[in-house]
Amino acid sequence: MTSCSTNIGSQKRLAPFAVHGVSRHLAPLLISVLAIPALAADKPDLELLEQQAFRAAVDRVAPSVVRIETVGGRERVGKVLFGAGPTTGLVVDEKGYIVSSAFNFLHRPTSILVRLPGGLLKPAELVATDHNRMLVLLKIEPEGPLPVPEIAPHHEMRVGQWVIAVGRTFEADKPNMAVGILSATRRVWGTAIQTDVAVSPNNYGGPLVDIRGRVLGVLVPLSPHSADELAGHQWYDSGIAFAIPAEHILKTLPRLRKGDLHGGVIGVAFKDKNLSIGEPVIAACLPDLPAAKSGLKPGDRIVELDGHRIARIADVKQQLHQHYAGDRVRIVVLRGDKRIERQVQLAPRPKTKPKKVKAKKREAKGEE
Amino acid sequence: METNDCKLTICNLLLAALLAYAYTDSASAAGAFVAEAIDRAQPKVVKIYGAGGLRGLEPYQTGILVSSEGHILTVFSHVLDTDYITATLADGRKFEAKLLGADLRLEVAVLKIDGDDLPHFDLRGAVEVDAGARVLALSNLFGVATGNEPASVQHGIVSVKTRLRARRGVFETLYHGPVYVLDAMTNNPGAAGGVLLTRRGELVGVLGKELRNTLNNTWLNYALPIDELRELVEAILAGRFVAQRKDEARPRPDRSLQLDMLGIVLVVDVVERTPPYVDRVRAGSPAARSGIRGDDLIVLLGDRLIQSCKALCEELEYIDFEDPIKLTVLRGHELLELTLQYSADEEERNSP
Repeated sequence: MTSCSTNIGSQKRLAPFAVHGVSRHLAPLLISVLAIPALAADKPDLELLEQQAFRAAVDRVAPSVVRIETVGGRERVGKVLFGAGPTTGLVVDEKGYIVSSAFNFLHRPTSILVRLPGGLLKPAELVATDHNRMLVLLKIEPEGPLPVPEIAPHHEMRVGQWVIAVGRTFEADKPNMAVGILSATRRVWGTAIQTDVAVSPNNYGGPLVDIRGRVLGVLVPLSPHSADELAGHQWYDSGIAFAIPAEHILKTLPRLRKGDLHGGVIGVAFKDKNLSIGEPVIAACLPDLPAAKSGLKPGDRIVELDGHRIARIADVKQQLHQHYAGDRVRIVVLRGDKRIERQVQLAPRPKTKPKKVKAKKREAKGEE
Repeated sequence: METNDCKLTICNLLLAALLAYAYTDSASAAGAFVAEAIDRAQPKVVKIYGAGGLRGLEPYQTGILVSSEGHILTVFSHVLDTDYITATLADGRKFEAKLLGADLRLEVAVLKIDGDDLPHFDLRGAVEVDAGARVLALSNLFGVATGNEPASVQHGIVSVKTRLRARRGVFETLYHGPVYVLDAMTNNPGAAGGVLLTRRGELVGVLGKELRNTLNNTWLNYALPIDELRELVEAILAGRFVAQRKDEARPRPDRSLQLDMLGIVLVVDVVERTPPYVDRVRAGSPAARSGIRGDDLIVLLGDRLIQSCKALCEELEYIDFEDPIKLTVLRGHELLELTLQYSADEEERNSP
């Protein structure tokens, strides 16, 4: 009660009638509420308060948002013209590890430079690429520990919550920001979260943060329809944008430090090309790939992957996307009435070749 | 204990009531601010029609009334390139408009229609806003509004306040001043000349023309701050306007510095973005004295990032041949800052 009375004592002028017998927890609350009628008379502007919160969120993450400059590199990748402008990255480890969007390096620059928020320029090395999530890991040698941002846990994300995209492309000393909401939490085969924020090369590689400035994910162009390295870029600033969850990035960081990560396949083709309604019955096992090597056969119906029930081809894709090449997964198939269980080690997803003719591309759709 | 409980219940009820009151009141107030701001602004926004219609050039844009006698601020564009310009107010009244003056450097123009007692924005009442500020944009994008239909309203935030830089056509515009970059898709055909307001309706800026950011090949959504335009508009209104020509290009010295003078030989420039690696350094040259070596990659000239051989040569054209320069080179994993200076004596020594 002592702390309570001192607390109230200092506020007596505001709340003279609320002193006695109020529980310790309620007293401060009550006092703060008593101030509201005064505010309400001035019509407190919730929108203004939100605006201040957006700004505060950006200020909170800004020390971890770096500007990336490149030297050399190609002028165009596929049909997309690449500017040589600055891009964005996010500090993920105080020892100098920085994550960015793989899109920012598709033009294969000769050299990469990282400009820290304080203005210091550092040469950077591209350590590895996560081809399954289109992220890259850069490393610089910092003078001291770099500020690592706070992460928002995945389970706290709610569709509809405010989100803010942060980049550092227009000015080196101030971040650029865009505001929107979280559109979905499990997208692009469960690898990404989705937002309606304006996301483009102006903030690819930068963080998507919540209203408290905690990082939800790192912004990358993606598409559920293609694994091509340019996929999703055509949706820039369209209201459809993606970020790779920060929790996943931190979890895979030790692996990524050791080298490139690729999407994993078991090496089967399905008869049905429609992923959402197609049945997961193997039409062919591609030679030298895990399914064939472990003895799976055409006609086998996949019923379980890694403990998850499989009903459609899309389920297979969704489950495999949670893994990388090299991971071991448990696969259960039905051959007639017989249940067959195998441990397979996922092989790297074969590279999509953009020059393939259309018919062949369509065929590749049903493969996993 | 009983009285305590009773008090607690009363407290709780009081708290809930107060919160509910404060919340609903402020929420509706916030919504009302925006609606009121739009209602006040709409009569001051005009739809402008003029030249165009060919090769995908839209024959319309937007403007704002800036005086009660009918002065209209808009962007200078192909739409105004005709003797017959019309302006339609939000209430459907249509006027013939006369071009009073235009500034090619700012890419804005002032038109005049015959009217009096017209609702208008007061340029002196304009405010500056910070990144994160919530804003409204009113414009006739894509010519959606016609006749007595008011302009379309969009909302967003100021992404950052930046400058459109003059460097090597990064932005294909003659305006190189500060702009508000927006996170909404505001700068579409017909939107140029529209108005940017705070959610309370304060005047912030004028939407610019469609512009591509060649640094990353994206369309830029932006507005010119009123502060940048006020002087010009006032000069035109007061009849003191003197037509401005294009901005002078960045000054070049009579004699520019050349790589050869410094004794730097770069690798053969084969592609558009050949990285500026030093191939070799002439003995006894300023480069040799500074410590530059073969295989160094030049990354900065002064504070400017150098991304290719071509860019380095272009930048040197703006430097007087006798001025000292600072080059930052990447050698292995290290950045080194080196100072080089050419002197005329050297020329005598080098000349045969």
